[in-house]
This record gives sequence, structure tokens and C-alpha cells, in this order.
Amino acid sequence: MKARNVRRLVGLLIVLISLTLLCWGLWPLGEASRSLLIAPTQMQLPTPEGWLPALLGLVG
Amino acid sequence: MLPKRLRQVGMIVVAAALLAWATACSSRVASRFSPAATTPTSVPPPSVQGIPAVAETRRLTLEWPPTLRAGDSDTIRLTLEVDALGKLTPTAEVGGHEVGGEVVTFPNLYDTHNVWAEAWLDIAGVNLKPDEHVSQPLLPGQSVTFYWSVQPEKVGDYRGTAWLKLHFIPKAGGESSERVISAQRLEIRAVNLLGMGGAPARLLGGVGLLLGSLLSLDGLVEWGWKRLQRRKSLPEH
Repeated sequence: MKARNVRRLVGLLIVLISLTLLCWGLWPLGEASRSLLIAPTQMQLPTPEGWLPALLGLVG
Repeated sequence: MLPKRLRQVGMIVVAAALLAWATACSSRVASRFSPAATTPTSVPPPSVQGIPAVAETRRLTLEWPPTLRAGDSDTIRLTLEVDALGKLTPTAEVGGHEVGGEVVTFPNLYDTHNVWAEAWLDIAGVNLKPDEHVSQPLLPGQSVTFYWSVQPEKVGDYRGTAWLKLHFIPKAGGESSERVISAQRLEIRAVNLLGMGGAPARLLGGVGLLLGSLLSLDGLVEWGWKRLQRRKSLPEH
């Protein structure tokens, strides 16, 4: 009788630990999101004039 | 005591001076708030307006898992879609009142060029698929979405950058050009539990649940079996 009770107690303990592991392993972790507005001016053809001042060191 | 006539002349002079001062002040206030003197916001300079552009306002959305269990995989998504507003409208604020301008238009880049969107992720220490640059055509009014599968094998913090570039290929031929649109930083933290990643924890949890149930609930099985046997042995009325 005593051995039976000990066995049931050990079994219950194993069930609790296993449920904890399953919860940790299956819990949804969520998602992060970031949204930016891209204006048409940011999607324009790059112009060579824009590079020239930097190349000549005229900026700043 | 000044003579009466001198007092009258003095008052007229003072009144005239006050009138002149008030007139000068009001003209200064008017020029500060006149539309011509206010610099409107968000209107591109004339030189920018002449350059062809993708004539849509777009929204770039990056979605990623901030936390992952070591060994598990998840998806990172980058979407470039047309924004609901669509066109760029300049506005200016004048004396507390908003003044709307004309819709700004650009020569449509789609008319003269094929536009391709290229994206890639720079993040070290994780298994990333695809790990090379991915390209998709960008069509008017259509959105493009890029997907990556990411799998950190070890515990730690992983930092990286999600890049998006546009390629402009002239329809008439000639040299193509490109422009980096966005470089967004992202961080992923890989965690474990008592040294176990996601898959080992789930496997151990499942096996443990079965074993524990057998150990602790065997009395229940025996009781149920006995009850069933008793029902079968009862005489039928």
C-alpha cells in the first residue's frame, strides 16, 4: 500500500514536470512588427548630380 | 497752461503718430502670416519633382519573431505594399489653419523603366533560408512580399539588418540604376529551458506525461476494469 502511494506520487510529479515542459515548448511567443511609409521621393531615379558634391567634397 | 489751440494741435499730432505706428505694426503682422512668406512643409523642391519616381506611396512592413526557442524555426516577412492614401499631397500650416496644396505628381517611372525589388537579410549565427539576395518585379498597384526562415541553433542574442533595394532597368535599354530604400535593424533572442531547446523539451514533456499517467493513474484503470466486469456479471431483468 505504501509502495503504491509512493508510485502514484512519483507519477504525479512526473506529470506536472512534463506539463511544464510541454507548456514551455508549445507556448506561442508572439511577433514584432515595424511599419514605414515610403514616399515617392524615396523611390526616385538616383541622379548623378546628387553624387557630384560628395565626390568633390563640396558638402559640409 | 498751454493755450487751447496749441493743445488741440498737440492732440492731433499724437493721434496721427499713433495711427501711423498702428498701420506699420499691422502691415508687419500681415506679411508674417501671408501665404507667400510661409515655407510650406512636405513639398518637394521643383528639381525633385522633375525626376521620374514610383508614383505611389508605399508602406514597408517588417515582421519577425523577437524570441525563439533554440533549435526552433520561424518566419521573417518583409512586405512592400501600396499605401491607402496613394498620392502625395503637400500641406502647409498658416496661422494655425491647414492649407491643402495640389497633388504632387512625378513622371511615372513605370512608363520608362522595369522596377525590381531586391531584399536580403544580414544576420550572423543563425540558419537563414534563403541566405542570398531575393528579387521580385515591382508592378504598379501590386505588393511584394519576401519570406525568410530563421533558425537559431544556440542560445543568444542575434542582431541583423533587413535590406530593401530597388533596381530601375530602362525599357529602352541602357544602364540600370539602383537605390537602397530601407535598412531596418532587427533582434532575435534564442532561449532554452534547463539547457533544452524547443524540440527536446516537447519530446521529453510528451514521454513524461505518458509515463507519469501510467504510474499515477493505474489504480483508475484497474477500478474502471472492475466496474465493467461487475456490470457484465449482473443478471439482466
